[in-house]
Formats: sequence, C-alpha cells, structure tokens
Amino acid sequence: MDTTWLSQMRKGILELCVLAVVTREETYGYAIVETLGKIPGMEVTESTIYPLLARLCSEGLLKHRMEKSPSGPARRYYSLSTLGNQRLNDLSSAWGTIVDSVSSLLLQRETSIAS
Amino acid sequence: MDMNEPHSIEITNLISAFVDRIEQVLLNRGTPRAERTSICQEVETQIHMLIERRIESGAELNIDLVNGIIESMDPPESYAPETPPTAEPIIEPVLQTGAAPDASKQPEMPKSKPSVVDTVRKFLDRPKRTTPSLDWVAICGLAATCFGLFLIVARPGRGDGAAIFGVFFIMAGVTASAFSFWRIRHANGLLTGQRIASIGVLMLPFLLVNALLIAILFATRFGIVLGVLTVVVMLIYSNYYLLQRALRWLSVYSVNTAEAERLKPEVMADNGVLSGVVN
Repeated sequence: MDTTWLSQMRKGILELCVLAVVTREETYGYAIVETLGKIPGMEVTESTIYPLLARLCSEGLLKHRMEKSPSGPARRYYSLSTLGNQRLNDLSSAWGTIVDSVSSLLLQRETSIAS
Repeated sequence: MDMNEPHSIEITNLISAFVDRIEQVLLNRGTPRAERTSICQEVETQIHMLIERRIESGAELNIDLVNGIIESMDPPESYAPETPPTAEPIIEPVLQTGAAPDASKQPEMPKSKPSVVDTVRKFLDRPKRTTPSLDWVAICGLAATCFGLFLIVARPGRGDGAAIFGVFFIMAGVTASAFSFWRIRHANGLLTGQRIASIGVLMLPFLLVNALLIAILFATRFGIVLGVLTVVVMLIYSNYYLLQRALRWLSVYSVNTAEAERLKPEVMADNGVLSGVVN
C-alpha cells in the first residue's frame, strides 16, 4: 500500500502537533518524540521530530534552554515563544476550519450513499 | 552512564561515530550549523537516555547494548530532508574531492562557520599523541624564550632599552603575523602543516600587548599614569577582540580540514552518495 500521501499529510500537521505538545509544558526532544509516537495516526520518529524542532527554533517559534543531565549531555528543554504561541493559534484555527469542512464533505458523501 | 565503566571509550566512540554520520548527512544537505548542532545533540541525548533506561531495567552496559540501541534508531540517511532548505546557503563548497572517481556527481560540501567552542571541542577530541611533536617543542621553546627576554628587558632601570625592544616586538610581531596570515590564506583550507603559521596569528595580540607594556614602563617615567592606564585598558580590550576574531577565523579552516579528512574515504562511491563509517 502506497502510504506517501499519508506521510505527506502527517508532515503537514506535524508542526501544529509539536507546538501543541510544547504549549502544554516545557519539555525535551525525546519526550516529544515519545508523546507523538503514541498518538494513533502520527507515529513519528526522531529523524522527523529533531529537524523540525531545530527549524522551529531557528524560526523563533520555539525557545530552548539547556539543563544538565545526570548522565550524558545536557538536555534541551523547549517552550513556546510569543511568536510560536501566535503561530499555534493560527494553525489551530486553520486546522479547525479544515476539519469542519472536510468532515462536512464526508458527511454529505455518507448521506448520499445511505440514500 | 558511568564513563569509568569498562568499554566506555568504545561506547563513546560508537555514539560519536553515529552522531557524526548524521551530521555529515545534514551537512551534505546544506542544513545550517545551528540546526545540525541541535539535531546531533538531541540524538546523542536520546542515546544516553535509552542507555540509562536499559541499565535501570537491569541490562549491563556494553557494546552490544549500545549497538542495539543505535540499530533501533532511525538511520543517519533518514535525517536528510526531502527538500533542501530554501534559505540561501550560508557556506560555499571548499573541499577538494579530486580523488573521487566522478567529481561531477559528488554532493556539494558546504563550508560551515563553526564556533570557537566547536573548534575547541574538536581539538580536545582529536587523537592524542603519546609524545610531543617537534613543532610543539619548537613553539613552546620560542614562547618561553620571548617571555624570558621580555622579563629581562622590562625589569626596572632599563627604560630606554625596553622602549626600543617594545618597538622591535611590534614590528616583529606584525611581520610574523602578516606572514602567518598569508600562509594560511594560501593553504586551500587545509591547516595540515600550518601549525607555526596558526600560532603566529594567535601570537599577534600577545606580542602587541608585550610590546605596549614595555613601552608603558618607559612612558610612566614621565608621570602620565592616568592616560597610560586608559590606553592600557583600550589595548587589552582590542587585543581580546583581535584574539576572538583570530580564533573564529582559524576555526573555520581547522573544522574544514577535519571534515575534508573525514570525507576522503567516503566520497569514493560512484553514485555520489556519501556512505561508510566516519573516522
């Protein structure tokens, strides 16, 4: 089964998901990977999340601080910047509109099939 | 993870090699340095966290454990974005890859702008020699001699001679440093065999400070202490600034050298894809 379209769709909404996870609490990279990895339908891995986190930081949507770890290198803890918060609001709004519209279309289709 | 454990060096090397391969993939895709650093740090942190978890659950720390963790993670190639970054590349290709069979197919190697911290880290991580090289013996000897001369000439009661020596130091320092800059500029990005030149560049601020301190000893005889102190502060600051710039400038070359050497055995693939184990 060709899942390219699914992968593309997932990537499209990944930024929204990452911002939504980070807005709940300050968190580190691997925790984000684990959180999103457990969400049915998302199933993303580190090679998708870490580059995205780095990009969001570069764009000023996320800010991070380093915290010493008892083992290994220091951890990066991410939180939303003001810009990131604004982006999250915009994306949430757009997502709501898309979901409503697509759901409406699918409902019409189901209704026509049933009738 | 306790680095005093047996196999700790092998484990560290294993992790470093994996992270280096990811960095190489990102570098080849033109990912900006800040993002590369961030991604590599995250991967390294994740590996250490997974090791810690396995140990807590009763596993024994050894090479197999770390190998298993690394194998369970995404391969380095998966870190290459499907579309290259849209931003203007911040770096330009500098590596000479003439040894490869088909240079036209090789991916462009961008020149990064590493920080001083990166350079220092790479320097500390370099393979250690068991005996000092002749270069370093010569450099240390030269530095000790210069400092000894400074102490002798600058001692009280040698005012005029000290001032003359100060001028000599300025001229010699500037000349040596200019020559060093010229040599490094024409080193095609490779610092191999350029240690003396590199040290010459880094010595410039110190030579100037030495010379000016000697001159100040002479000048204070005339009682212009306040003015001299002001000049000293300004000079120390400008020397500090110069040293920072010199370090940053040198770091670009040293990191490019390391990357060039690291890529040599890997750009041999005729399909233009970098692969293999990083040195």
